[in-house]
Amino acid sequence: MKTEEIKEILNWVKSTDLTQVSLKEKGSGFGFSTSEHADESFAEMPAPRYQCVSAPAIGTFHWSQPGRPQKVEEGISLPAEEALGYIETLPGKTVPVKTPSSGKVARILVEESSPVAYGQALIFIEPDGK
Amino acid sequence: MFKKILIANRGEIALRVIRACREMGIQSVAVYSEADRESMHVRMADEAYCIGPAPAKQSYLNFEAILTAARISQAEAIHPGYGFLSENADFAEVCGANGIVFIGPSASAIRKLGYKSAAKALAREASVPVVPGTQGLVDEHFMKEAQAVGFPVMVKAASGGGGKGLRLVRDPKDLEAQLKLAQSEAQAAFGDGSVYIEKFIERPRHVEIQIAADNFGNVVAFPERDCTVQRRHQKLIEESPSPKVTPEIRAKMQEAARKLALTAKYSNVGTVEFLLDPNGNFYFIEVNTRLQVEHPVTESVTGLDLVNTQIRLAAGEKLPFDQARASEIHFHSIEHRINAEDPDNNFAPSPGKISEVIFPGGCGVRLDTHIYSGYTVPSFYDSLIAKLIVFSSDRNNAVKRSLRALSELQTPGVKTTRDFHKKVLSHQDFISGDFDTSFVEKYFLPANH
Repeated sequence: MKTEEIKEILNWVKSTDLTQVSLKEKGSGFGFSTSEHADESFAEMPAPRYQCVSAPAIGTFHWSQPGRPQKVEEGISLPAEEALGYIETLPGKTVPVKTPSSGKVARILVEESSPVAYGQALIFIEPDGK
Repeated sequence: MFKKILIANRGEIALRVIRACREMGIQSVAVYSEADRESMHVRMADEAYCIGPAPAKQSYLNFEAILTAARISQAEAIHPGYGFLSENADFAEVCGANGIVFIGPSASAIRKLGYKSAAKALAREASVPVVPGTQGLVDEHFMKEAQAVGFPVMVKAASGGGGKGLRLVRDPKDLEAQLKLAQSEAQAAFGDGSVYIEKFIERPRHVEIQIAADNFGNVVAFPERDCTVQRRHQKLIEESPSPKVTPEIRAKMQEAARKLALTAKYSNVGTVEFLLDPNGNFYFIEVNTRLQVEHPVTESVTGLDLVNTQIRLAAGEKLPFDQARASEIHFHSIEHRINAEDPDNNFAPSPGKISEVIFPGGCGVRLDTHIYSGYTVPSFYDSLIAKLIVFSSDRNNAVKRSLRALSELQTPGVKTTRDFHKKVLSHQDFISGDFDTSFVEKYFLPANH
């Protein structure tokens, strides 16, 4: 599935009340949750495979500041609370973007120095043990 | 002229500004909270950015998020609409510091006029009549001072609010006892027992004057808007011209508003509010340093576009019309604020999904709204869902047109104040024009009176 298609689906999901979505197409697919608290009706269903890291503020996205760990790439593993990057709001003001849990980077939807809106999906993580 | 303007607001007023921008060839940038993702202003603007979660404090009141949206969209100016940051002097100042034009008066003018006591002092300086009262706090000469003010008087708590420490005194012999009661009530409520005395204005109407001023010392004052139909100080119906304002009173009020604007070195649009007593005396109450909800009434009466004017003035242009043009009265206009509220349940908010919308139309009808079929009214913000504005040749015909247009408006799914407006309009006192600010409480909310 193409990144653009995933973005489109995400935007659609945001316009609904859905908190968890699983999608399969030609044998492959993905699932994700926009909520930390899974709905009870989902208790019987397998946990969503991917977790979305969304922008905590509107601004310009940058990967980790100098001196931070390696450049984030699809496939690498990251610990929880890892500073992936930061969002520059006003000159000299930044908001960190952190991993919500430890896991593997499944998909990167954001580019260096691109403007992002609040809540915009930046990265998908496949949490450890899922 | 600006190439791009960001609108730091939501709902119908965001649409109003987007429309003005489009007519002026200016690109518009909408900002929205997560609760407003499906809002019409997001769809209508040329660009839109989500700036935060639903609570206004984290979105529509968030300086940093709004200024960041202006930075990444390269907007040159911010229109604050009404409410939210529209009268926030700090925000106006921060806009300037970030190289963005705040479409409104200067931060210093907002500060001078935004605080009631400072505004009142400025009004005195400009020889604008204010409610007579003691200049400072009451001391042992209270009887002499009250007599100078003239009975009946109101005793008011200096740190007051919410009706605490407020006493109406009609008879001089009751003054001492009531004064002491007010002082002890104020002490208990605010930890400050100081009170002052003001003349009690009997049967007042709420009448206001719209002004517009440029940076070259030109100020115009428009015909008045009568906003006497209120519930708990919330305006419900506004009309222009007022059924009780004569051309002589109008001219005096316009002159007072112009003098105040000149004294405050005011620029952009604003509104000077007065109380009008049954003898034609008027008294300054406060200034709203922004565009008002009820501005379409003035637009309908004069045929002038206030938002277009506001943008031109903020861009440094001269006033595009003079006092004579601003004073022209072409129609009688009435505005109804349609709120998603339940009049049968003490006007409790009634958020929810509007399954289908049918809009009124036809000759002399304007509807400023952001709702559409399937729209969900969120519970996070004020409950205004539409402003119905009608205009006609005279008041009698405007009332008939209002009743007709109100009947056409359908919004199944949420409770609204539509039928309440119809009741008010059909009351004989409204029809005769003979009512005051207690009108709604007196006839329609008997339990509260």
